[in-house]
Formats: sequence, structure tokens, C-alpha cells
Amino acid sequence: MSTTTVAHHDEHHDDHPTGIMRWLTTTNHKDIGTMYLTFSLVMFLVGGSMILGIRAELFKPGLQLMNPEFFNQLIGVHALIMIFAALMPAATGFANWMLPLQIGAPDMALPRLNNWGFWILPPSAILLTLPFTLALFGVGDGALATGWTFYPPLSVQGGIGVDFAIFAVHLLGISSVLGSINIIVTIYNMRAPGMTLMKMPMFAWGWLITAFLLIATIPVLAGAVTMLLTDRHFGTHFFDAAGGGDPIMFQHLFWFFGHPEVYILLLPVWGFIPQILQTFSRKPMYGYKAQVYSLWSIGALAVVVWAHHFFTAGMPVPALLYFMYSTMAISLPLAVLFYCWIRTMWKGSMSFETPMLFTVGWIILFGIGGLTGLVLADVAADAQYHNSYFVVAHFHYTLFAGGIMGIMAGVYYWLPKMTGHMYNEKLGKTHFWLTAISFNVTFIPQFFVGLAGMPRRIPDYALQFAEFNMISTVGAFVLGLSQLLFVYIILSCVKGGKKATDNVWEGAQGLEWTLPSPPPYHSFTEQPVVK
Amino acid sequence: MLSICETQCITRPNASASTESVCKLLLSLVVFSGLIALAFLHVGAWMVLPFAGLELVLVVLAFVVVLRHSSDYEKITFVQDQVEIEQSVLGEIKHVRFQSYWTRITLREGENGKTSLWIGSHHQEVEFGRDTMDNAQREQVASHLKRVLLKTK
Ligand code: HEM
Ligand SMILES: [Cu+2]
Repeated sequence: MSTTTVAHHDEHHDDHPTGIMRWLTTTNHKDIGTMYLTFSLVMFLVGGSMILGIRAELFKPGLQLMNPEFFNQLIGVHALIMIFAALMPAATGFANWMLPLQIGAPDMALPRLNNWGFWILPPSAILLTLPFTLALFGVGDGALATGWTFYPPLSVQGGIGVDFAIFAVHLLGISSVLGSINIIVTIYNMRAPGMTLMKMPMFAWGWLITAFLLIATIPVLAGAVTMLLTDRHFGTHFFDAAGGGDPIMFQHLFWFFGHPEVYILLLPVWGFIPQILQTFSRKPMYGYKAQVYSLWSIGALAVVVWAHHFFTAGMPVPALLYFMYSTMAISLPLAVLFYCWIRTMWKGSMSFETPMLFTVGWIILFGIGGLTGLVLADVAADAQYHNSYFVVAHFHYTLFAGGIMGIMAGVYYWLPKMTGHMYNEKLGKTHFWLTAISFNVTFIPQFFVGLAGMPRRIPDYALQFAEFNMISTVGAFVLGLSQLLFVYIILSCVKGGKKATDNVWEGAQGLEWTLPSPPPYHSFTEQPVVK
Repeated sequence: MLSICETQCITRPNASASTESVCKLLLSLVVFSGLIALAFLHVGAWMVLPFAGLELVLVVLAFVVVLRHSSDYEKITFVQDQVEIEQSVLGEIKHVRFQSYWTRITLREGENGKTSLWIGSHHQEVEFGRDTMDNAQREQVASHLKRVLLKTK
């Protein structure tokens, strides 16, 4: 039998550098989670300031502040930033921070991949916004002016902003895929002994299905924008009718990705919302299995309903009917989820700390988003509402209320665990009320002007819409400014504040609450076993 | 995962996925993404296919990298007056033997609170359970080993 000496390991992954190198090279899931969340917050403010420019222009009819071209650039970049650089990274940040803690793993399964996944993001955000700066120096004519949907022929004819956006989308897609792979592997292979799939925290389920959807749909987006690129520069005619191509095919490709994308943004939130509800209702979550099955059904339906985004582009009637009914079918599992959320609160001994306020507000406002979606799914009605402000209001009830406000609930819920300090409860509640009220002041008027026929992505409008637009702009500025309070609350909580207990919330359940607040650099010093 | 008995300690990485469940998962991903890519190929959008292929290769690779280590193990066995340490990494097995009488067990604390467990004698030292155990388990193993070794002295 041979006798060997084991060489000393030089690459101990636990002695970590400090300063900037710590962040550049870190493979620690909490560090990476923190970077994702910070990046998300910064981009949320960047995207937010852009849209305040839009709302300022729309304060009055007529052109005041900017030319229509720049107006459209702001709208498109705002949407891309909010979706890919604010909402997605926030969900990924929570996944990094909380998934290992919740499933009892020491870290993510592929820590180095995790680091790369994050560091792709800042360059892509720069790529996306760089054309604005270049235009100041006389290079190109600014960012893409097509909206976030890149429809040809405009995107084939557009300036260098489109090229920048295409490369940015590629990078963002790679980042999402790397993140998804890591999450799937972690959830599959790193669960604590005893934690079967059906005992996983709901957040893990939400993210698992999200990761599946991302893996299924990102290649479609990547293919679509690459074909745009070759149409632009290499003489192909994928989307050019004159060359035998089909511009409508781009819409199929884009929305085959784009519709699942909206669920990608929300499934992680649907994962942790029930956890917040059970905490502040001091009851176990109602209908765990029903919720898991509903999440799966929504994930499955998400990939077969895409054409409801372009009913008006012209389709055979059977196709219209199919896409209408399949879209409406999504509201069935969604209704099951709503029922479970409400039943979780039912007769609970509820208290309304900030995370719970955001969650209850979320249920109501996201409910409005879902219901108005049902209106849009009606082919006949959509002929009127398509491309109107009604759609804009619908997807802000789903994405701002359903997405961002859900993320905010998560931030308040987990911030004490992450920082070890309590945030200022009074300011938190103020932030909630300011956000909830000004959000409605901003977007309810948009339903009205939309119903009356005001088109989206238009810098000028008919006089009849003036009052509602004015109200909406005032709301938007209050909404935007209120988020500075959010930033202040987070920063002061990171800096100091009342010491948080390990359990933080009286009714909190789950492995993450068994760890100290903040958790040590290496999470579990004791392998948790789930019974 | 750790199992301890009087004459043996074994630790392995915690792998909650069975090879079968991973194969099922990968198969379903390949079929699903493949069907989507082929459908788009059918309508002329062939550029989805290379991206889907590339991505699936990445997914499979990721699982291979992670699962490669799931048959690793580290084992300490007491044979008469000897302590045998067997470490298997990716199928490559290393053996070290020490005289029980001279064997020392050392638990060191790193700067960030993570401990390391060393088994050694004279000039040679072997680290045990660096990635597969946590502090509490290392402590448990250390005290177990010390107790067993004491009996031989
Ligand atoms: C029962 C649920 C839902 C139904 C039936 C539904 C239906 C629809 C329909 C038919 C449209 C197209 C309207 C048009 O352009 O004419 C639409 C647009 C949109 N929906 Fe929904 N929706 C639902 C939930 C959601 C959710 C949960 C989200 C986001 C998380 C969402 C995000 C969006 C977005 C972003 C758009 C507009 C995209 C764009 O044109 O820029 N929807 N929805
Ligand atoms: Cu949709």
C-alpha cells in the first residue's frame, strides 16, 4: 500500500482578500448576493430617473423638454434597465443570499460561476446606456429608440444604439443563464439531508421554475437579437419582407421569450411572499402542495401563450381563440395562489410590520394587475386596448406592484437578517404608504387615458388627456422621490441600528432564521437536518 | 455527510441529487429546449438552435463538474496499532498510515472562524474533512479520534 503525503492546500477558499479585490474575486454567496442587490438598487434609481424625464415631458401636451427620438430612447432603455438590471438582479440577489441558507447548504454549488454571472452585469448596463454619452460627443444618434421590444423594421433601420442594446442583451442573457444553472444545481444537489423536494421552502420552488423558464427561453431571445444583428449588418433577410423574410416572426420569437420573462420576474416573488405571510400571520402556510402545483402550471402555461402580445398583428381566427383561452387559463392557477395567500392570513394572529404591509398591499395591487390582464386577453377588447396606456398601466400593476413592491417586502423582511440591525420601522411604514399611494396616483389615471384611446410611447397627446396625465406625472415624482427614503432606510440599517435577534420576527419559520443575524461568513457550522 | 463508529469515520460531500434524478432533469431540459429550437428552425429562425445547443452543453457540464465529486470520500480506520487515512478524490485514492501511539490530532482555527482538522505524526500531517465537514463535525470527529487513540496509549 502506498503512503502519500497530502500537499498543503494553497488555495484555501476561505481566506478572502479585503477591499475592492474582495468584491472582484469573491465566491461567497452572501457577498455575491449583496452585490446583486446593490447593483439592482442603483439601476432602479437610474431607470427611475429616466422615466421621470418621460413623465415630465408628458406633464403637458405638446413638446417641451425633448425631441421624440430621445423620448423613445428613454422609454426603451428605462424598460430594459428595470426588467434586466433592476428586477432580475434583485431576485437573483435574494437567491444568492437566501437559497443556501434556506436549504441548509454551505454555499452555492458553483461559486466561481456565480462570481462571473454577477460581473457580466455592470458591463452590460454600461453598454446599454453608453450610446447616450456617445451621442453627446457626436458619435451615433443615441440609444435604441424601438422600445424594449426591438421590433423590426425599426430596429433594423435604427442607429448604433440598437447594436449596443443587442450586445447588452446577449450579456444579460448569459448572466441569467449562468445564474439559473447555478441555482438548479444548488437546489438539486445541495439540500440538507432530509429536505426532499416537497419539503423545500416555497422560495426554492419559485426559483427552480424560474430557472427552468430562463433556460428554455433565453436561447430564443439570443437567437432573435442575433438575427436582427445579421439583418442589420450582414445582409440576411430574416425579418425583411422584401427579401423573403417575415417581420412578424420576430414578434413570435421575442414574445416566446418575453411572456415567460414576466413570470420569470414574478415566480421568485411568489416564492417568498407566502413565507412572509406565514411569518406575520403566525400560522403555517396554507396549501403548500397546491401552491407548488400552481407554480408549475403557470410555468408550463407561460410558454404557450406568447401571441397574446400581438393579437392585432393578424392571425388566423383559430389561433386567436387558442391564444385567448390559453392566456385566460393562467388566471386559474393564479386564483389558486391568491386563495392560498389569503387563507394563510385567515384567522391568523396578524401584525403589520413593514414587510407585511408591503405584502398585503402587494396582494391587492398585483390582483388589479392580474384582473386587467384578463381584460387584455380578450381578443375583441384587445383590438381597442392594444398599444394604449391601458397596457402600460396593466404591466406596471404587475411589474411595479407585483415585482418591485414584492422585492421591497423581501428587503424589509430579510434586511435585519442580512445586516444584523433592525431598520427604522416608522420610516419603513412611511415608505410603504408613500409608495402605495403615489403608485396608484401614477397608474390609475393611465388606465383611464388608455381606455379613452391614448397610445403608448408617444411624446405628445390630445388635449382631452391633459388632466389625467398631469395627475400621473405628479404621482410619478412623489413615487420617485419616495424611493430616496427607501435608500436612506437601507443605508442607515446597514450602518447601525437596534441589534436584530437571530429569529428577528416572532413567527419566522425556516432554516435561515436559525442562524445568527448577520449570518457568519461561512453559513452553517452545523449541518442542519430536516425532519 | 458523516458517519462515525468505534473503528471508522467516513465523511462524504453532501449530495442530495441522485444520478437518476439528474439524468431525468437533463433529459427533460434537452428535450424541451431542443423541441423549441427545432420548431423555430422549422420556420426559418435557425439561429435559436446554436444558442440552445451551447446552453445545454453548459448545463450538462455544470452537473458533471458538481457530481464528479459526489463519490469522493475520506475515511479513517483503526487497524490494530495503526491509523489508516484513505482519501478518494475523483476516483484517485490516497493512503496514509500512522502509528497510533504517535498520532496527534490537531484542531486549528482559521482567521475567519473556520476550523481545520489535522491528523499527523512526526513530520507528516494530513488534513481531514476540509470541504465535507463543518466546525461542529470536525470537533466531534476530533474528540472521537482522541478518545479512541487514548485507549491505545
Ligand atoms: C392573468 C394574468 C395575465 C394576463 C391574462 C395578461 C395578459 C396580457 C395581455 C393580453 C397583454 C398584451 C396587451 C397588449 O399589448 O395589447 C399583456 C401585456 C403585458 N403584460 Fe400581462 N397578463 C397577465 C399577467 C401579467 C403578469 C403577472 C405580468 C408581469 C409580471 C405581466 C406583464 C405584462 C407586460 C410587461 C406586458 C406588456 C409588454 C409590452 O407590450 O411592452 N402580465 N398582458
Ligand atoms: Cu404576456
